[in-house]
Amino acid sequence: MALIKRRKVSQPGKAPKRRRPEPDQEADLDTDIWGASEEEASDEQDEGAVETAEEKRLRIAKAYLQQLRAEGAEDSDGGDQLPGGIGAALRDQALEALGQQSRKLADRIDSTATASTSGRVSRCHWQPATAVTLTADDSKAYSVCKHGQIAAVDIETGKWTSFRASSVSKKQAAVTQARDGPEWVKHAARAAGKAALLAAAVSDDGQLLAVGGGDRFVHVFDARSHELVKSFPGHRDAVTGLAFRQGTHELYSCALDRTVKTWNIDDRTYIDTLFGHQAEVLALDVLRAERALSTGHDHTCRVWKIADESQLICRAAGMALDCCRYVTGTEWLTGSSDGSLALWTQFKKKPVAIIPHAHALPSADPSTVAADTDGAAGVDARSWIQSVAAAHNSDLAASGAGNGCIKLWALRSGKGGRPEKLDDITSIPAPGFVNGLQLAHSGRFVVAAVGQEPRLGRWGRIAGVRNGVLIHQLSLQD
Amino acid sequence: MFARAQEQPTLAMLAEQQEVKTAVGRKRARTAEEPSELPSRPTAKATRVPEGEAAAAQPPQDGKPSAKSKHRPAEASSKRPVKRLREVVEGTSSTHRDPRFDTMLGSFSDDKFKKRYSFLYDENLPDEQQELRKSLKKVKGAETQQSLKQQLKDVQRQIAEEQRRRASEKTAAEQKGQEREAVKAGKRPYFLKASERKRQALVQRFHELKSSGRLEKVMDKRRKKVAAKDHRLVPRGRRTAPT
Repeated sequence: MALIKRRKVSQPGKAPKRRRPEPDQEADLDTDIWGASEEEASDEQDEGAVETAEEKRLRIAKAYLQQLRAEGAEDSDGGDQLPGGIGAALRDQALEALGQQSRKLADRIDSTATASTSGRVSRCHWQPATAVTLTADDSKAYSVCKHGQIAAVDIETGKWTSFRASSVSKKQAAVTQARDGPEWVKHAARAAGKAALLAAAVSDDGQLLAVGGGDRFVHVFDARSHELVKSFPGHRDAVTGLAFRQGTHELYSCALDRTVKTWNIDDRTYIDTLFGHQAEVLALDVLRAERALSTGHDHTCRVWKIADESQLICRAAGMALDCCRYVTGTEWLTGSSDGSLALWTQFKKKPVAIIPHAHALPSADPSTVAADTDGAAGVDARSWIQSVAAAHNSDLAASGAGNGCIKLWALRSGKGGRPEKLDDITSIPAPGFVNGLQLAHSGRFVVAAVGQEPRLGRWGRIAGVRNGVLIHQLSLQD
Repeated sequence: MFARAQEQPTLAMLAEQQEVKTAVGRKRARTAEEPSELPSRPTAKATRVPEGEAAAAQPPQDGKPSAKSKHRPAEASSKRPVKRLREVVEGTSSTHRDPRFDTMLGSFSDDKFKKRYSFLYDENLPDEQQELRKSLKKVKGAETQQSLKQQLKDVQRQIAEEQRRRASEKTAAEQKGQEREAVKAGKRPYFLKASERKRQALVQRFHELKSSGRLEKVMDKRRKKVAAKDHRLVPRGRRTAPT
């Protein structure tokens, strides 16, 4: 019987433990395996003085400061006690961790100039684009579409290259038509649904691109060379949301099978599944912390505290939430299929602020608009909010629906310094359904995935609209 | 192969997580930002979620739900797979109330009921009567005819009762009106006895029967009824007719 090799992970700062002898080595056979393990165990028990949390924090902080100094920080500016711009950087990071936006972008937006300029649509997709993701340095955007195509768009030039991901081939992706039979047999919708890609995410360093869709796989590509790294099976229904944890290669995915799964791309492994959603999960977002946010058809937003293996459940009053995005570490925006935009906080079970009919259609008379409140999905799919975006660590947010415009919102803070109100800034013209939305980190532009149909189905169709990626510059006053 | 991205230890991460290793196992302590906001409780596994996903907020240590925790989002475990029989959306639990015993629904008042639901006696029951008559003509079969007849009788009885009640209400209201006028005119208020009221109703009925010509018939019936009732007082020997 082979010996089970149990290797103790040595604690940081301590001398590495004595390893047990491996079976094929000329080990000291006097040392009994069980004796060795007992000694090791007793060793650990004898220690008693384990490093406390505070000591560990101190050690990590010192290591971090050393690292910053080693990176060659510049000469100190007057007020900081620490050399270089370290003080400012640390302050910014602390504010970010506390959830207080450090950048005021909303008031700098020049509404007239922004609304007057027209955006550029890169027609890189045959079928409606469903999601778009932006690299952290605002240089490249990746979008996916219902045809299974992935397009890499360069923001500066607008040029794009495309490649395929789906395990379903292009031929299979085409909607097949039977010759005879009833209507529902003739138009075989499911094959096209299998090929569709519904979600995309790119890692912070721009190395990895993850896409997922109807074929239930999570495909991870090398973002630069467009080579497939791995296709992760596991989800039992279409993948609808993907997000990389900032600064890491940990991927979170959500699917119509009501689960959220975590993956480690470096080790090419599946880590964990999070249960809780009672209906399909439609959107996912994650920031730097090990804390994911997901929203779904069961009218809830769930904050997954991965380390604690628990979830916080916030409930919407009869609103099926279609999209979500973190604004700060503890506040987020959601858009729902009854046309309302909501601002939530982790500390309250109900939304902090709701804008009903954020994307009301111009032709709608007030009586029908009013009748649509109550959580029922608005009759017209063009009023559903399919995408929301927020500029990282600032007070600027955006929302997109099918009524032909992307709306920019300002997040106004309340007493605690946390965002409590939404103010309408301006609208950007965006023909078609805005299925994916990203605000640049600098706040200089908006990237949107636009198409003729909504993201997850064909509840509406706007003919004559170009499918692709819309890039619209925002003019900021300095 | 891709190099593992070195996780830079940032202040943000420090603010978020502390790790305390103990000899026995690993327990992750509360993060830095949480103790000030959430009530303190044992870490790691969340509490058991009640049926139908109606998880309540975490109770704090003192056992009383604090004002803050009432508005907090519910916390539940993320390790329990969702059952096949699940509550997709928070369903409204229909509470069943018995109107007889529920104080929220008020107490029953006969005349108010009759006033509000007078349409039943004015429209619904007469219509039912007509329908029953029609079906009596059509339907064949002794049993069904019998039951229909019974139904018809019941409906007619209800209508007749309501008419009688309304008539007596009317007379009572008239009398009250007269008394009120008299009091207004200056006379002292006078209240009729119950027996007096009964006697007056009887007198009125007598006059009605006489005018309609049914007096003799009704009186005969009544005499017969009374005689039959009094027959019990006849001694045992004389009860049956002599042979």
